[in-house]
Amino acid sequence: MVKTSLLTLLVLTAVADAHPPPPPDDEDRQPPTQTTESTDTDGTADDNPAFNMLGVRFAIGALPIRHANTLTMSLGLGVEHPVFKKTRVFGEYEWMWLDQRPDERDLMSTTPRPDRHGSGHRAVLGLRRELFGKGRRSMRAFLDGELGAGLALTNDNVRGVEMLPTLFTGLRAGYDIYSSSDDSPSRTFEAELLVRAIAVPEGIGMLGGFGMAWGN
Amino acid sequence: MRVLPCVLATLAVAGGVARADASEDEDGDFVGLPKRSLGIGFIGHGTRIGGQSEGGFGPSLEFAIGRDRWQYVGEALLSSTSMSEWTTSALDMKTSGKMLHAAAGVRWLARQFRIDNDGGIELFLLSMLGYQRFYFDDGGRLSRPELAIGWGFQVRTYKKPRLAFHLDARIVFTPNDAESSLVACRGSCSMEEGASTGFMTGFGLSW
Repeated sequence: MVKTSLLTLLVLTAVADAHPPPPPDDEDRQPPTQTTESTDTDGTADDNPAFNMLGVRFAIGALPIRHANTLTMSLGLGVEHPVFKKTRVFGEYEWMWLDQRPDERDLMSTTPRPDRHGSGHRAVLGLRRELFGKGRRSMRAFLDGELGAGLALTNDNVRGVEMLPTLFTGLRAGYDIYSSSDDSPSRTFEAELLVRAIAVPEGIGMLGGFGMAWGN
Repeated sequence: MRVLPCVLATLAVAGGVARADASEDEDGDFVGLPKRSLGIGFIGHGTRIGGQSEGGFGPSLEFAIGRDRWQYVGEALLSSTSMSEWTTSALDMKTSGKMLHAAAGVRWLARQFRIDNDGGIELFLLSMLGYQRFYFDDGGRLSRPELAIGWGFQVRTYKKPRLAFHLDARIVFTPNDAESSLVACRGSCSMEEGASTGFMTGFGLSW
């Protein structure tokens, strides 16, 4: 009987350790790590926000694919993670809608020719660094540069599947808003405009868009 | 034999503690989606029919039932449609008409940013299963199912009036089959295999 009681007490103790009681409501909580002072470009800023971010983007651009200027419209989903003080690594997935503009050969043809169109997927990995930032406790404007590489898989209705390695560089301008609410699941909201130059085997294209991200 | 009831009682207590903690941790500090909401909006779409581009826009109506971070949505859309004709390149022919669209699906609240307790900016992911019915002016008719996945964001107020303005974008998958080819080009164009992809994007206000 004594052994059974001891065994029972040991089990209950283990359960108590696995589920510690929640902190009382009046316990002091540390504020999130945020930029509280304005910063300038000489790198004297301290306490840059270090949040993981989940974001979305809508973009339109043109890429040289199959020796033709192809209009691309993309919907993207991306994640970011801070690595250095002002540098973040990001990964994105984009679905692309491709619409090839008719060339001279198409316009001169007397036989019916189908629309050239397709869709594609692109995955990229890159680094993003703040070039300029200025803000207050609740809001911060920024200008960031980015550099990265990726792989696109396009499927054209005329010529089939093609794999395109890509390199890109770009600029992002936008602002971050920081929540003053301790209960907010995301403490940072970011809105930005993006311009990107994308190099593919057949040349260089451009892409512009807007995006939003939420940081924990 | 006296050991067994003690062990069983211990396990029952431990299980109860585990269940209580799980329910307290679920969904964290998210303000849940409203239990019922009605919305109006405007949706544009671009897809392919038998390899030909088709697109249009029109008003939509939605009804949603919410539970915490999940929202079950039904929507209906009456849209214009305009499809490129399979013809010589010298002639730019388009066939117009109307499209009826109905879909049901789910939205999941992925992120919520609250400046204060009155409202916030949210990110949601969505998936919809629907049906499209085309009525072309040249007499062509087409029915096809669709599968859509995508994302959206909304600005929502948490106190009365509980309003939400949302904008979303979806990738739409529709089948390519003989019926699509028949409508697009009277069957004379080459039929693409597999599913074709398009997109839908729209904005709306719900309460």
